[in-house]
Amino acid sequence: MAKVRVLVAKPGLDGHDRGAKVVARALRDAGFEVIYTGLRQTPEQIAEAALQEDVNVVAMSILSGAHPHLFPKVVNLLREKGMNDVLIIGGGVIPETDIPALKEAGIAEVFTPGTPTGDIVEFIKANVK
Amino acid sequence: MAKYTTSKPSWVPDEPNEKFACSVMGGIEGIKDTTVGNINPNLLNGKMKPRRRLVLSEDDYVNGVLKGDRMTLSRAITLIESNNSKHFAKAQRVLQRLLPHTGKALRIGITGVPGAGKSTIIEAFGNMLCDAGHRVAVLSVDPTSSVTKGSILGDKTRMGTLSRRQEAFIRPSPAGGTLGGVARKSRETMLMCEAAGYDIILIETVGVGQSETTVRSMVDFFMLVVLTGAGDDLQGIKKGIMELADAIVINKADGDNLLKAKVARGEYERMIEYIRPATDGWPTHAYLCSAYTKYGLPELWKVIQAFKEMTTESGVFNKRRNRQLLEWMYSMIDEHLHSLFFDDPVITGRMPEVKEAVLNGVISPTQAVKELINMFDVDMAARRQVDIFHPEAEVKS
Repeated sequence: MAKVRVLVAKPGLDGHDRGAKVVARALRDAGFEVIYTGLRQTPEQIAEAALQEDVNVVAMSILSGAHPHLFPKVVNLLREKGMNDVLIIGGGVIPETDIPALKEAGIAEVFTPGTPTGDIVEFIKANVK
Repeated sequence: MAKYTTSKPSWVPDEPNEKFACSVMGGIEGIKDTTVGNINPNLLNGKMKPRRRLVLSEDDYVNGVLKGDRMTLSRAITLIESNNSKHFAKAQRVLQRLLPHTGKALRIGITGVPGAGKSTIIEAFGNMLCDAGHRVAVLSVDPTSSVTKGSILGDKTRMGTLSRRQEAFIRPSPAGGTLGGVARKSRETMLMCEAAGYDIILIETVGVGQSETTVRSMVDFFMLVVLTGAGDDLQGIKKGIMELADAIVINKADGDNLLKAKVARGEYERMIEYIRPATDGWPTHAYLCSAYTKYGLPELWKVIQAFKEMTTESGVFNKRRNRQLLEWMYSMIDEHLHSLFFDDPVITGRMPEVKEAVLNGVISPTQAVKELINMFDVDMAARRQVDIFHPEAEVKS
């Protein structure tokens, strides 16, 4: 069976990627193939990388507060490129009040600080394919 | 959660008081578990429609790749990389139909020790080629194996500009696994990219093991990226790699390093004199470049073009490609036989016993091999016997 491929991305002007790296490592250790984009990616770059790498999951981390703008943008770009089967998840310091709107926009789940990495793994396993 | 440690410096008063500036604030009791309520319950209990990947047919793959559709191409590569035998058969059928459209691209291999600047060169070089109107596909052969079988692919981080260009396609390949291993997958990925209209294929590999030989056997032009300080470098890499290279590229020839790079170039040139060139009729040379200032990159491209012209004229270019095809077939036979032998039920059944015997010195390894091969032979013959009575079984396998 084909392996689950996950793109871990850091959209926007935000230099804090410890969390993204921890998640990337945890996902790798869970047996996924992880592609890390590096810092300060535009939504276009993320969507393009997701397409080229044919990923099953796009996981975005953001700590700058720009999530209401950037997350939906990535979702829309992915849909425009025809990747409507990709599971999109988000994480970072995201106020609980913002989460319903993000889910409405197409983010399957939002993982805030304190989430055990195992939960993310379980979530991906449960929702891919 | 562990409590805070109670050890304090001796000058800290026991009881918090206002006169002492560093009084400890009371922490927050417990950690608020924000995750429980957040998980969309519909997604967890499977009520929401599962995200099924749209299954593409053979025709979809072939037409999409030929049209140059990047999404179909990337999914076709995933199909090739899959270890599922069903995917394997489908991938082979797709590849078979795309084969007439392959072979037109120039294949360039790039190796070097970690940190030599391979990715940076690819970024700068690839951008230059895209500007010149080429379509560039970047692949990498990286036969790392890990305990968990997962991998982190970070090439995107280092090829920022190139990765978002429409003319470029970057796909680092993870470790192989079964069904032909890394070499088959990289070769077939390369062919897919060629069918999709990419006319320059850059294949990157870390020069620390067998991978550079694998890459050499699938590219037309092979370059070794090195840094200044030739003597030190050669401690790290095997001299053998120099024998495989059509060009030695000294990277980071910029600023204060330029002079040192020029010295290194002289040293490499002297070393090359004693080495047989990798390609008949093409003298290997050392070149200076800087991926940072773009110095030497246009010249490098001219060298590669001259190489192609010269070898095409002398016939070496096609001869090498033909030889590579045969090598590919032979290596696949090797792999097939390997898996045939080690997956044989009789062999896997007897292996522990034989291992034990060899370790205890009861039989010599040579004798053990003989016995195992014998068992394998008998098992194979027995299966053929069965197949005579059940011809349909043979068709299935």
